[in-house]
Amino acid sequence: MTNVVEVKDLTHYYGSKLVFENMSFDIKEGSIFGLLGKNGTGKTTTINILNGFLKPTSGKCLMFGEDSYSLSPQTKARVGFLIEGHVQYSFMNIRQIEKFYSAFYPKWKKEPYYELMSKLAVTEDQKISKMSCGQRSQVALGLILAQDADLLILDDYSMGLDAGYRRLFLDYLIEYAKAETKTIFITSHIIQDLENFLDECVILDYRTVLLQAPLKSFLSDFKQFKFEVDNHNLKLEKDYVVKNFELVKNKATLYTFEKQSVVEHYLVNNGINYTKLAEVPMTLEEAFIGITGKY
Amino acid sequence: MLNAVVFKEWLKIRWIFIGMLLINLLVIINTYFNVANVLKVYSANIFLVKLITYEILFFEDIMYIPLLTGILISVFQFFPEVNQKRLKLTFHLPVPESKMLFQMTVIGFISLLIIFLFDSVLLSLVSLNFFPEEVFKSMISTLLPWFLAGFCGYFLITMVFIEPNWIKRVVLTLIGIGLISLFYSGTGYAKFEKSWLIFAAISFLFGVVIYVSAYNFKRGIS
Repeated sequence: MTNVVEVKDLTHYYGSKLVFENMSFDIKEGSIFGLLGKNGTGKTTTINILNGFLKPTSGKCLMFGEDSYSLSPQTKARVGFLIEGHVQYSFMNIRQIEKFYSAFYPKWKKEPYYELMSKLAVTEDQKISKMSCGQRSQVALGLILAQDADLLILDDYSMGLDAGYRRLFLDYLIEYAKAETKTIFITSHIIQDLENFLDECVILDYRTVLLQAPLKSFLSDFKQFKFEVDNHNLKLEKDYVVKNFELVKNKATLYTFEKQSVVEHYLVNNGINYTKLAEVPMTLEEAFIGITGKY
Repeated sequence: MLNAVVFKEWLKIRWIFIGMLLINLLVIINTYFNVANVLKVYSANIFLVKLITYEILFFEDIMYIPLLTGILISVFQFFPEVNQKRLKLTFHLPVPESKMLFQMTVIGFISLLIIFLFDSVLLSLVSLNFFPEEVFKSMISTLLPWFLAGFCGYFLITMVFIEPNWIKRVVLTLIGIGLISLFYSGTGYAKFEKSWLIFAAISFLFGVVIYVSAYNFKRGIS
């Protein structure tokens, strides 16, 4: 399977402030790839670099084999882009915006757009600026689907959407991506929505990449162990076993990629008296918080 | 594709274009009636003495209207683009960014040209109706820098909107105001007969600098 996006040793600074360093990942054709991270870890910066709106300080970012900073019009036509907040030309109405975009894309299919619009209680003369955030998200999604792009880049599709619209958005996207073998690159601040959606993910922390893995293997390999301790001031530094550690009174939580037997061995070796050690299953959101920490 | 760009730009500027066309028309109609009334009550000599000796122009009401027109056309055309960074949508379209920006500014330029030609024709009719040809010629050479100031205002505001760096925005605005004020440094009879080419060159320079701001926007310099 070929790579649609290749990011190699990407480093970016805003002035003297490091955003991330030596970030590398690939996005395979036909996969649904999530870029996860807390606010300020560089998700939108990465998307801006991918779309050619930012020149990285160093490193390489290729999209369909072309340098993302100088994409040819032919390659741009293969990329659908959803801006954070579903921003579109709000001075246009539903019909005008479809007419406008159709002139630029040779593979334009207006049917999926109007199918989505028919679900909204609006007329074709409805101005986008007068629509709700949820309705605007459907307009933006419909336009991307009509573009029939090979790669869809969606920057925080969930911003401002209630649960119903978020579900509607993802349902449509999944159906479309599966039917047409599209590649999707998505970010969201609502991690839980993506649990049954992503094939692969990158988790960003401040200045670094914490993890790149298929979602299933991350959820199966990354574990949460809860146990009780006598020492209420116990501190464990991150190392080859401990990826994160939290203590509330005598209740301890340890996050790790290791098996229970390794964790037990580790605690004994470090002279920690513990009781009631048990592995507790995690949702994607819990695993995300587990690996990135609450702060 | 060009038709689609024209369609989009027209949607943004149509009301301000029509509005400014009407304002320009009203100012010129006002000028016409002023001249007609004064000629009716007094004589044509008053105008010529005012014009040549005191450098008071019968068409001076229009002086800042082209500049205002240029600024407002730019605001209506480019504010929606930079608000919520919609320019990213525009630059993501499968057209080279410089070509897209060129097409957009040419559309703004042509809309201004239409308004200024409209002004020129109407003011020429007013002038030729009441005054000798020499006055008409001097009026055109005086009007030209004002119209060029309109183009400069358009380019300046466009540049300021597209430029992502606030310090550069302030510097560009100050330089722009300084240069545009040159266009109004003298308003007398046939004052600009020999200098309009310099003003045209300044206007062209303003147009070119837009691309530097667009380059900064594209690089993410802020």
